[in-house]
Amino acid sequence: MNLLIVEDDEEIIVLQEKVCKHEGHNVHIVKTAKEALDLVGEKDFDLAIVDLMLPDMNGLELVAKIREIKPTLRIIFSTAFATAESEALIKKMGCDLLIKPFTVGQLTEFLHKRVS
Amino acid sequence: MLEYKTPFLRKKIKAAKSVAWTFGAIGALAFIFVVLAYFGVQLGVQDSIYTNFESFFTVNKYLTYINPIYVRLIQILFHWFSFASLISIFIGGIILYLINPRPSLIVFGISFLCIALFNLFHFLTVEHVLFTKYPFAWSLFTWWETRMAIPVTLFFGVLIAICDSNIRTYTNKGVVLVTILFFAIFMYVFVYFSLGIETQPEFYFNENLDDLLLLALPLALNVVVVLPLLLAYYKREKSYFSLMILLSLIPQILAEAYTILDPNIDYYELLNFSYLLQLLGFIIPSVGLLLDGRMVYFDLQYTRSLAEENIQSKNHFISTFSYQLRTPLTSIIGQAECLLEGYDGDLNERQKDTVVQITKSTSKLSLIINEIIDIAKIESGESVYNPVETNLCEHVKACFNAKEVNIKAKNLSFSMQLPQKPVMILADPERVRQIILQFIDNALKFTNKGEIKLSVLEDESFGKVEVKDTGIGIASSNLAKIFTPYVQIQNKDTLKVAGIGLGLPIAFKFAKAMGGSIDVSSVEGKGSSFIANFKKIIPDKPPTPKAL
Repeated sequence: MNLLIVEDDEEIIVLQEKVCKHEGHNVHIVKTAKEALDLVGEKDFDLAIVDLMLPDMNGLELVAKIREIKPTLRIIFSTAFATAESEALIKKMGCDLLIKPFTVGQLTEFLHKRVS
Repeated sequence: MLEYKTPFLRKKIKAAKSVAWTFGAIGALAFIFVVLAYFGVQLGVQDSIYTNFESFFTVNKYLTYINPIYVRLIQILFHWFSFASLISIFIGGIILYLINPRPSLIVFGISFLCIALFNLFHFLTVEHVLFTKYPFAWSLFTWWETRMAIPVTLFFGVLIAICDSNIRTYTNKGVVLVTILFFAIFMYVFVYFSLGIETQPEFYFNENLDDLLLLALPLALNVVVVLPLLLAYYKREKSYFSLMILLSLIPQILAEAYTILDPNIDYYELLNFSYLLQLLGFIIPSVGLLLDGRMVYFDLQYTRSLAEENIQSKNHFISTFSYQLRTPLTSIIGQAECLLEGYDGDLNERQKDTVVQITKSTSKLSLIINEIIDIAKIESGESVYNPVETNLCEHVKACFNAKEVNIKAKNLSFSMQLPQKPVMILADPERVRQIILQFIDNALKFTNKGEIKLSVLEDESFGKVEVKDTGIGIASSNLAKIFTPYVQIQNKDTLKVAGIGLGLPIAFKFAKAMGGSIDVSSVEGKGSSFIANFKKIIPDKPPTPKAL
């Protein structure tokens, strides 16, 4: 499975990459929303893990733009900060939400859910 | 915590506001009354034989020319209005004193109560309720009630206030006590003396009040003694109230001067010019209270906004700080798990043990951070839940399964009792589980032998989950404290138990935010029962969730 990780925190990138690779997926990593949009246009992804707070754009906005290019791309949001409103919005968009600090178990559960 | 102080401030602000409004209303009413009385009487005697200004107000001389019912009405209104305005100065002064203690409020407040009582005596005499044996006019008693009471009372009042050496601390209870005691004795002596009048006719003046000493004494007292004292007092305590007490002396002095300048005027006839001036003197302190109340109101509002700003910035700091902690914590937890799962090669048993210790500590830390974030969210008024229709029994089952191992490990019996039918509630499933888990954790913490029992109950409007234990229980004096953030009941048993004391307050606030509540009952040494009530779905009338 081709995975896109949009995340600006080095340590989280290392962790997510390690887990996803261990699960046998191809991982592409970008640190900004702009890079993510460019890459989504070029390559075919099965799943994106998007940080809700990116340096250049809000994760929700980014996903809205990604959906314009690839309406069917599945998304997992990851964040340390989620209000009840943003949680509700994420559910409405049909995405999953991974609240930091998440466990490896939670991450792999979400990955498997998407694979099946 | 500041949050718990603002509701108290809110009450004070409300009180100050109502003092301001009340005295605004009294002032306006009194003003209308004075104007009506003035022009009404003037119109009434328009066609009569009056020739000079003074006779406008000596109504009783011309009673035959105006409607007697109108005059009577004004008389009665005048009596009760001046009494009410004097009493209200006392009440308003006391209320403001309780909000913002300044000696003038209590001292002059009580002085005005005294003046009001003298007034009441006078009216009751005029209306022939008291002292029916002799005609009231020209008595020493009436002279005292109407003309001496104000300067003498104010003189003693301002003396007490000035003698208070701690005037700048504004909290002297001594001054309150002395004032009350002094005026109580003062009134007692007066009443004792007045009752003597019924049997001692020598207290009466002769028919013509031509004794200049008696006429001039009130004026002299006002001008020479009370006015300088009040001025000196105003310099010490520059409040609207003390200023207005000072200003209220001016109409009093004018009234006295007016009487002396025209000794032919019937001072004791009702509704003469002196009386209207006197009433004006009673209204002016009300204006002082209105302005003071207004000032206190704005002051308190400012204090409250500062306090609320503090809470907001504190909450903001706590949430930002906690969120910042979450990201590195994710990496620690995740990497430790990777080690344990063997992502980076196999570990030997001792290495595994070490990593298990790391994960245990990190999950505790993560729990504490989550609690702090929850309470900060609730306190900043942020919405904390997404209500959906959900079956309470499912959540209780899930929580039971999650905690079974921990409870059995402590050798406690753990049981669950569910109704046959599902109990549908309107709540956020995650928050419901959080509350139930909190109850179970709490029971587990404080129960060393016996059992923990979960049961689901329901009534017409609530689905209930009860967690009952046979633990150490809570003393009834401590029951109210357990829902206050950061408070843990301290005794030798609870000292062994870790925690920052946020779990129950969070559960309580979540339950309340979702339109429910939490009930606790406990017997110390025997056990506790915690019941969370969640709003049920009522088909005809879907309940709307209450915002926090």
